[in-house]
Amino acid sequence: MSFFKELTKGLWKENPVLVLVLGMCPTLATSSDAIKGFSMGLATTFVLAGSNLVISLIRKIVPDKIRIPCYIVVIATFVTVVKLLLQAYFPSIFHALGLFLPLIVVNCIVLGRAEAFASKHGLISSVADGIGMGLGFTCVLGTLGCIREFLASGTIFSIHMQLWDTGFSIMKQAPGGFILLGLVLGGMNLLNMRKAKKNGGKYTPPADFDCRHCSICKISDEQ
Amino acid sequence: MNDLRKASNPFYLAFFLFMVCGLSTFVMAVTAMKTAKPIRDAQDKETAESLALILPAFDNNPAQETKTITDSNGNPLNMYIARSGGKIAGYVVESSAYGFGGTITGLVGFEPDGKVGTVIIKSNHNETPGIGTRVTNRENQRTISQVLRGEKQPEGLPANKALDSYKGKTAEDTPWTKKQVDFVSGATISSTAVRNLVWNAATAMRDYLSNEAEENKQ
Repeated sequence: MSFFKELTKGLWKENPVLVLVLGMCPTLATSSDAIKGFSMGLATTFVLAGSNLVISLIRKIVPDKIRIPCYIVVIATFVTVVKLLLQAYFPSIFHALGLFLPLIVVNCIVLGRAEAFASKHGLISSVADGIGMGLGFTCVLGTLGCIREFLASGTIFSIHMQLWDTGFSIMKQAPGGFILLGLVLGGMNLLNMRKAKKNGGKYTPPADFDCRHCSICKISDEQ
Repeated sequence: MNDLRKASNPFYLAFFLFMVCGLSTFVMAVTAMKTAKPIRDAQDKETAESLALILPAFDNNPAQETKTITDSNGNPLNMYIARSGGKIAGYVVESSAYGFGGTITGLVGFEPDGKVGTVIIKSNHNETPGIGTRVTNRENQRTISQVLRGEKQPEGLPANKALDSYKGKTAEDTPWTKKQVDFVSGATISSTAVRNLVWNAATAMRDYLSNEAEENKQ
């Protein structure tokens, strides 16, 4: 049950983009069309699952003082592996993602999950958390990609929908991504508020979903 | 177990970090070795496929028969030679220029007499989607009704008005102007980049062919 809970929480309740608001840079940059969004999401899912697995394995032997560099090395290893595999077997996806593939190393979702979850939980729930968060990321990127591609060029997955030819090309660029993401975040908050009102309460985002649960910033205080 | 996490001896910390890096290097090295051949194969396949799209029928392997030629700016360019029954069937020159979002690389096909043939821009450019890509990308768009009716994708190279406007051109004294080739309005920088790219290849081709002709005379 716990495995399933960890797996599904990333999809809606603790969605990395819509609730935790992590990984904005790849979200805006690679959701410009559906194929890019989905492939970026899946690449990140692989890295998340792999790095969560390894970090959960070594969590008891990594000295606290150097844990962040260790985590980054683990993450960078997985990203390099993904990059080489994509280059070898899916060159078109490799070209489409370009610079954003190596930049998964500094994607704060990956380090955030390593620090906030995998370093404190067991093997199975860490992998489940990685896959769940990755799939949540993939869903958001894919959905944003479909909407942006459709609004900008009237296509979805490069298939023409025959509704219009030239839409507004701003949707394919970063500003359009910002606008759409803002609308989606607003819509999600609206849904949560309505749900809370139905249950007779007031919606406040859970306190442990913001950056207070993460101790990265506290490193300097310890010393 | 707890004392391991609380360790603060700098030598131990350095050693631990060194071990982590060593292990990660090992994993990356193994992956790099295992994928080296597939990556080369994938790149070769991409080159071979684009050459087959650009050139007319040929029976040698142009990816194996390459030469380096120099354009009017003195930059070396890679040239592939296609032969059919021993005779030259066409050339492809790999050339690049600066566009709106960095370097654009393209393959320019030439007929045996030096006229520009088909032009393809490689997909690893970074032009603005929907604006610059109207100049650079050849895309065959399928519509939803075609997909629902189960129609197959048409064979061959999709058309692009801007790229096709270079067909039959030869290098002259000054680069082609907006009147001679197709510039897409709103995408002047990308259009200029593509023009420069084809122009560089064409001047290199012109110089190469005139050198060849002189050598044959002697």
